[in-house]
Amino acid sequence: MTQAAPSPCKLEFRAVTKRYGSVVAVDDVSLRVDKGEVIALLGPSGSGKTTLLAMTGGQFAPDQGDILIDGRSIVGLPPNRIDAATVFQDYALFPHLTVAENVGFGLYMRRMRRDAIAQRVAHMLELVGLSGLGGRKMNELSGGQSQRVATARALVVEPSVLLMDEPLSALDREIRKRLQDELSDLVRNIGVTTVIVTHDQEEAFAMADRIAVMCEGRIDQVGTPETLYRQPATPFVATFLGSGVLVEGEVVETVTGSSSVMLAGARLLCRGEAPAGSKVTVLVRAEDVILDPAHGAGEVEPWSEGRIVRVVDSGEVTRYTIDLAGTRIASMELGLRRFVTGQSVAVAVRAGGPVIVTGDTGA
Amino acid sequence: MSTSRHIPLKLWTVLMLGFSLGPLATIAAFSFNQSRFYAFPITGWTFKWYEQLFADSRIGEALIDSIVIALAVTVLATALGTSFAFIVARARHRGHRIVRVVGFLPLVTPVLILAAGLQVGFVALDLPLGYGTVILGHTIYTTPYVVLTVVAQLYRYDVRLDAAARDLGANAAQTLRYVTLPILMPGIRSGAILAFLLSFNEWAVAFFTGRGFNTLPMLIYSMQRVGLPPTVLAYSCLTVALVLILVFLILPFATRMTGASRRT
Repeated sequence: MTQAAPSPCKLEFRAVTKRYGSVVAVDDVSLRVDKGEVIALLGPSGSGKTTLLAMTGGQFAPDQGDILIDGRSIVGLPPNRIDAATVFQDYALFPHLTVAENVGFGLYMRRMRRDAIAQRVAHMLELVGLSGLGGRKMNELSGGQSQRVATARALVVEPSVLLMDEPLSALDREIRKRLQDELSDLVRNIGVTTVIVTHDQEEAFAMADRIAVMCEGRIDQVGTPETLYRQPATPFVATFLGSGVLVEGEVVETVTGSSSVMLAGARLLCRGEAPAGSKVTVLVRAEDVILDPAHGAGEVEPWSEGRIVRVVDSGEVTRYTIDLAGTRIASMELGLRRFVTGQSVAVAVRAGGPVIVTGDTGA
Repeated sequence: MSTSRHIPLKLWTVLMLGFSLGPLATIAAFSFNQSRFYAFPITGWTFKWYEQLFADSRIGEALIDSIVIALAVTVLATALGTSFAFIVARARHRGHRIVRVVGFLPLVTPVLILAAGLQVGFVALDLPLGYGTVILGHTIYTTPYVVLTVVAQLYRYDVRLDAAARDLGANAAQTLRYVTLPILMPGIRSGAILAFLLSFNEWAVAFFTGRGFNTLPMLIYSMQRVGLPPTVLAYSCLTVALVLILVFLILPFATRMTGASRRT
């Protein structure tokens, strides 16, 4: 990426703020989304992600800041004048129309010729795998089919930006996983810039190129799934994604890129830099904690001796809670349980796993 | 489950039906009776009262007046009632509760009071009593019923459907025309049928505010002042038949509404 190249930026939020009375729903959010990019707004309910999406669709205007599509402000425009289409949560399909009429609605409103509408609707139904179901009524559709109709209805108007509000949250686990892949392929094949609002980490990771993690109206961090997972910028991002435990510790010494930290009474090498003697918070992911390292594979680093406090066996993985000199940490490994509650066990971590989250990382 | 527990319930239902349908059945029976005296047993079956009814030239004129008035009232009350339903269901301005109460007053006002009040009002406003005043009076009388049927549907209307339409490029007018109104149509249709029936059968308001013509109920009223001829019974039977036909048009919608409310 050369800095001189013209920006391919499709959608931009500039210091957007929205308040409801004394509650700040969206707080000074700035974000750039490139053309063709699939970005997920990930956060718990009430984090402001749906509000941000609704403002992009023109359902209401921000109190401060600006939203631009193709470099032009859309603030104050009615929704029908904004070149974005929304897949609503629970779809909001028109109950009095057929599948084909739902999908063709946007084209009909644009006064396109009927045969042209029919052609584009048929093509879109084929893309979402609903060929031959154009005559169905909404109450004759399964959840997955309704989702596809909603997606087709938004995509058929060829919007600059596709907005999806919790697109898969109403579906069963199995169909949700299948549609994650299908939708992800579909929007990439079409090349439409897509914003997905979700509270589901798995959905965001499976579908998005980049993820913006939101908390209390702010974007805590934006990055690729890998960056967010490996290099969380805030304690919230660290604990919201994946499973792991934040442990307070004191830096003993720092070399380039990593620090030796006193954690739960023992020294442990962590990624990130901090001045010696400073207090830091370290994220230790459950899958990085290896019990009884003789059995562990790969490069491990011994940490300390702990006692198993709790074991939860879910079939494919076993989760342990371990007491390490008064600090509770979590461990997760594939397969059936190997230890029982109360058992003492040697604890190690995968080398390069633990990472300093707060403190002066200099990043 | 035991069916014996349902027997009292069934018995009760039959009694209720007998109670409400008994008078109608009696009127129907006597409208086909040979004798012009209302006494059992029925002396023989005839259509002559119906023939006399249709032979009476005043009936035809009154029927046309009634239908013209009822159609005009249907159009006005449906348009007004539907708009007012949006205000009742959606508006959150100060005083919207007062607007509601005032709008629904005609529902709870005794019809005779309403009719007399309308006459006094029209005269005070120097409106010449005639067709126009009856249409106006009936519109005031029937609009709240339209509001009720439309509001019932509007309360369960998912406003995100409007948002979806706007999002897909429909302007406000297109949204109303292609999404909101079609989805509300069952309620609007029921309200319109109700308005037609109420106006068609209404006597008091027409009697107080109409001059120079007779609607059907007005004519029947004048006919029965010198004893009740069986032609009036024949008329009653035909009216009930009309009402039944229209009610069956509303029925699917009504059952859907009550069914839906049970589910929520």
